[in-house]
Amino acid sequence: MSSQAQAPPIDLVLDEYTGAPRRGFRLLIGLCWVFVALVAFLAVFGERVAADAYGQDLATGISTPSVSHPLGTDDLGRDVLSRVIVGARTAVVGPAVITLGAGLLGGALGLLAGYRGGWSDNVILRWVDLMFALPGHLVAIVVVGVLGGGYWLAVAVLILLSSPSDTRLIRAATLEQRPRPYIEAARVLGLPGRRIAAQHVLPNLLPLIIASVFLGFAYALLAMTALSFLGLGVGPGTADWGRMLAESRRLIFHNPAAALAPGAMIVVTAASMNLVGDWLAERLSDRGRAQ
Amino acid sequence: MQRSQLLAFVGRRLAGLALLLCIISFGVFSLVHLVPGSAEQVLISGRRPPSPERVEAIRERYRLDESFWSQYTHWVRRAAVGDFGLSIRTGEPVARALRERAAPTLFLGVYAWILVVSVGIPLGVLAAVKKRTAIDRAAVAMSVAGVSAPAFVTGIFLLYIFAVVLGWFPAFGQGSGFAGRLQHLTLPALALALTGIAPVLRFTRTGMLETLEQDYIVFARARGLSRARVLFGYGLRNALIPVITAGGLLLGILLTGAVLVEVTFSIPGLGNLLIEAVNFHDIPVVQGVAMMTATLVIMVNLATDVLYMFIDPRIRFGQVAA
Amino acid sequence: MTRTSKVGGRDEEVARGAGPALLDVRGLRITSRIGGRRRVIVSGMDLALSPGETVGIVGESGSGKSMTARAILGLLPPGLFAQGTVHYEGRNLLELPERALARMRGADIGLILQDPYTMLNPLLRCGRHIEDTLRQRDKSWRGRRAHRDEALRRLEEVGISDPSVADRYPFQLSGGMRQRVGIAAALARDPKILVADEPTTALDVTTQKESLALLKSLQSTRAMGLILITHDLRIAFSMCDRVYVLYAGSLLEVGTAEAVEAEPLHPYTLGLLLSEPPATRRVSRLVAIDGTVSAADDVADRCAFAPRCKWKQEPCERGKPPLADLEGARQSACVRIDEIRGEIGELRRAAERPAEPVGVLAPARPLARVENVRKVFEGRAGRAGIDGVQALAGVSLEIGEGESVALVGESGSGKTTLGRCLVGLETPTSGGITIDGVTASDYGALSVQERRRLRRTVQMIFQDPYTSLNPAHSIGFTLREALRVGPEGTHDLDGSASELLERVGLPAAYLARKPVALSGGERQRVAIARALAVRPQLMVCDEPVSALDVSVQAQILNLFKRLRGELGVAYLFISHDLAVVRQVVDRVYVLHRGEVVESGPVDEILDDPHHPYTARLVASVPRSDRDWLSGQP
Repeated sequence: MSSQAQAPPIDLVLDEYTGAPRRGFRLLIGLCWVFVALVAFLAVFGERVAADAYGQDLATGISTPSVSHPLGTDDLGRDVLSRVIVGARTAVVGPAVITLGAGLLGGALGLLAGYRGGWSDNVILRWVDLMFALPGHLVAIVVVGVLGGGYWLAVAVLILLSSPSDTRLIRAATLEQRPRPYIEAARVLGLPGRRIAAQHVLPNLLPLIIASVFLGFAYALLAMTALSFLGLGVGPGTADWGRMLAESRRLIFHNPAAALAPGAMIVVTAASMNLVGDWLAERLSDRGRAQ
Repeated sequence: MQRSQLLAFVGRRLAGLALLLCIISFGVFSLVHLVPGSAEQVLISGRRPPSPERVEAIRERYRLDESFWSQYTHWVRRAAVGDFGLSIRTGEPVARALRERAAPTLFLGVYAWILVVSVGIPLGVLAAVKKRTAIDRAAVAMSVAGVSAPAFVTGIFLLYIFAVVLGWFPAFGQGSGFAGRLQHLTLPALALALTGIAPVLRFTRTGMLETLEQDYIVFARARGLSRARVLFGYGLRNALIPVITAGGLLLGILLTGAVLVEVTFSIPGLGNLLIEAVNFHDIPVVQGVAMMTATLVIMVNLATDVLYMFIDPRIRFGQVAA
Repeated sequence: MTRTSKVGGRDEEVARGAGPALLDVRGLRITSRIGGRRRVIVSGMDLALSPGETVGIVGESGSGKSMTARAILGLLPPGLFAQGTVHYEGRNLLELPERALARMRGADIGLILQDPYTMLNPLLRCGRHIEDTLRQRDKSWRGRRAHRDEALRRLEEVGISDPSVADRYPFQLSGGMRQRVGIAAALARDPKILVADEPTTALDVTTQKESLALLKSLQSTRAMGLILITHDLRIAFSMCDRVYVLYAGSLLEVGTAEAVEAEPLHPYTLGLLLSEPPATRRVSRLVAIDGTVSAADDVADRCAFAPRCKWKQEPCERGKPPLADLEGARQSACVRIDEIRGEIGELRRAAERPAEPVGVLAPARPLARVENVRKVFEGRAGRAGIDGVQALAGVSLEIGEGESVALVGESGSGKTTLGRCLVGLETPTSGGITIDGVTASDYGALSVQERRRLRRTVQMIFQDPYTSLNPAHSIGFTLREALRVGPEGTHDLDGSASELLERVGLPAAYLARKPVALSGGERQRVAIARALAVRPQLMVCDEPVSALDVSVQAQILNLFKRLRGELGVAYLFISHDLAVVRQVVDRVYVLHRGEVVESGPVDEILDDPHHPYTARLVASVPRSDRDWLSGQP
């Protein structure tokens, strides 16, 4: 389901031959961090920064960018910039909850399957296989749509649909840890299973988990905005990037910024998260740590 | 013994896929009962109170008086021959709507798929071979953009640049005739392809880089094999294995992307049909689209398995799990 | 980089062996560039190879021997660069463009790699590998039939007479068979020189001997030049005409195999020879080289061996000592060789002193008893066609208190499985295990108290020191954690941890370090300390020194001996290496395909094996003499 999170690493940060940090990369990652922080700030304080997101001005109607409306207005005369700023909230809250929920649910199942093995592994693996065989987004569209739509419904459905990829990730990493001599040595010492999982398996999975949080967030953001775009997430008229894009799609000949600005926000936020995630994955890997 | 192992493998996969189809069909069938309201209400458009005869007809058609299991088997038997009943919204058979709407989606999908394979794999190979050059950097940047931009955003930007600013392509609709289609569907296919290229490029590039580091590549070079033989016969063939196993993943991306792109460009395909049906709670149509998609997913999975088996002898001999 | 050898003209010809050199490497320097920083990997490497000659490059890990081989063929990994000259038929290979080099590879110089399991393309049939090489030899000589017949003939040449092998995939063959296919493919274009990079390291000892014998016979029938790269001096001596001793990127000694074996003329060569445990007798203490192998870059400007050399003086560190000519076509890079030659000779003779008798023990109170243990690994559940594998077919053995017992066998013999059964990492399918009066057949079925007692009785040391310690935790954390479950309780954990480190020969300052900062030998010491934390009576040691370099291996073997003397701990020593086993155990069990085929006191078994398998194992232990390979398999 979480297709992007499954894609292999791309060796962005460290040169794979020499292991040295790539020149010019620091700046890019710095900018990504700044952007992530900005979006997070707007998610909390956006409505104070831009109070005018819902104020309609039918007299003005649609307009191209101007001094008073830097990104112009939409067909109801609403200020596009304000709406983009306020839209940060639904763009951050839902995906954050999805990442956290799917991570906890999927991670716990993965750890259980990987460390315990046996029948629990079998059952969990079947579940994951089944979910991977389904086109997750389409299932989300159908289920959310048939159940009547809504933001939190979409969040709940996406938690369920994205958790298998976390399960698979954690399970594979745990399975890889399990036969390592330091884990076996801990077993021979007679340490309790819970302590081995917490002290010996988990710390070595941490880099993977941290990186996958960022990649998972980017993925959840795309999924949520897609549902909103299709009219299945937030209600009509809400200042939400996906919804705005859908509603302004037809205005592209009149005020392109109304559709392009929320689209750009989606891409830049997702790209920042992806880059930061890739960067962390490499930095925290054994190879990165050796530097 | 080899043949029996091969048959066992194929048999196992087929059984798995059949089971998958069962589970999906069960889920799809259950949609009727998932929607708030009784099954009759769901299956009859709720705008005006239906006549008792109509209710009776619906109860008869969907066997609503019988057990859940019996309803299901009855529905499956009809679905198997493509009969999903009548659309609630239009009253016409679902099968007809599916047929009509399939053409543009199929055209779009195949067009995008060709773009993905013909751009993603060669570019991935090129990036790996020309590592640490501008080509590689550009390919990597493209893949980052590709995984970060959903098809509808890519679509809007392409629309703006090529239809609004440059005016090279029409903005909306599907066009008629092959040339018209090609012209109308180029931007949507491009938008769709860009999201698919990114993972394919990544898988190819990583697979190729890992393969080129292998001992057997060094050994092939040490025997003086030609560069082409080393790169393609030894390198690419091994590198393609992860790409092929990602085939199902690509299908998922393309399917979702098709829905988003069709909505973005107002193409009257299956994706738009699904969204209309979902918003209207037109369950028979949703079921029809879902089952059609499920069949496609299963066929692609099977094709992936067969291809995988064809490329990797270890699968044929049951050495590693598929 | 200028040449370090000061000799020239006629003398040099003599020094470099008979006749004009087929391959002449001079002043080879290999560097890597990491983030703008250059690091030396090999410097000042000279090598000459005459037609039909076999030379050995001997070195431990990090000596740069594999990279030297790769550099000769122009196959250095990306990021590594070679300078100097590699002359072959009047051309400097280092200056040839890739296209010209590619034409030469396989046709003039061939290469076989270390690991037969990764050397062949997993997707191609074995025959195709040979056919691929043939196709390069003669592009006009087409026709699949001809290539195929030729491939079959080549397989026969390497001792594979079954033509169906050509149609099999590499994964369907054993390691030894794959190695043979690899050799056939490498030699398909009849190169004049074959570079063999540790060709048998990944193989079992009996297979190793067969593979080496094959290489030797191919070399002599074809009158081919052979460069054999190995970490094992004994193999180099038995196979090669001349040997080059490489250490941390520097060439330290060159000479004929006989002469170097008879009298090493560099402290490092002496150290290597002395560290090698003799297979024929037990010595009271191995003469180990102190310290660990330096990184080539750290010692590029001085004598590479100086940090570990007991004869080190100020001039040794003043600059890189050149390779100086000595009598009998020998060269040594030791600046003090004339002064210390006598001492080296004495040490060598001292090490030849008679064997220490293995104490015949009075029957000790049995500590662990294994009775008729079987272990079957199930195939994947519910999958047709994949049967279970029987790893142990009814094994019985006994370990007395304070006794040291070896479990000897090749891969697949089940020796590791039995060790894991003893510590509860595997559960036997049937049979009984009793340890210190507790039934230990199934750890899961034990009461908490019994299990705790068992854990404090038996501990395990693993093969790979690099994965033995959790990279996320410091050495102190690891030891304190182990101490906490031990009998000493939790007071003064740091003090106890320091004591443990001291016991295994490490300073207490290591408590704060992470495993990354430790060498392989040091990590193995920590792993031993961790096992000792619970005061066990029995340590199951699964190939504890096989991943270590010879010079470090000797240190760890000495440690095992010392600990047994100090603590009276019993060992179950699992190993494939009879020479190692000879040094540390009293009794031996020989395991073959899950069954004990022979057992008894170590001297009796190794000196006078009765079972044919044991005899084969004993004969496969590498020996320095030339008869080793020609002897019976």
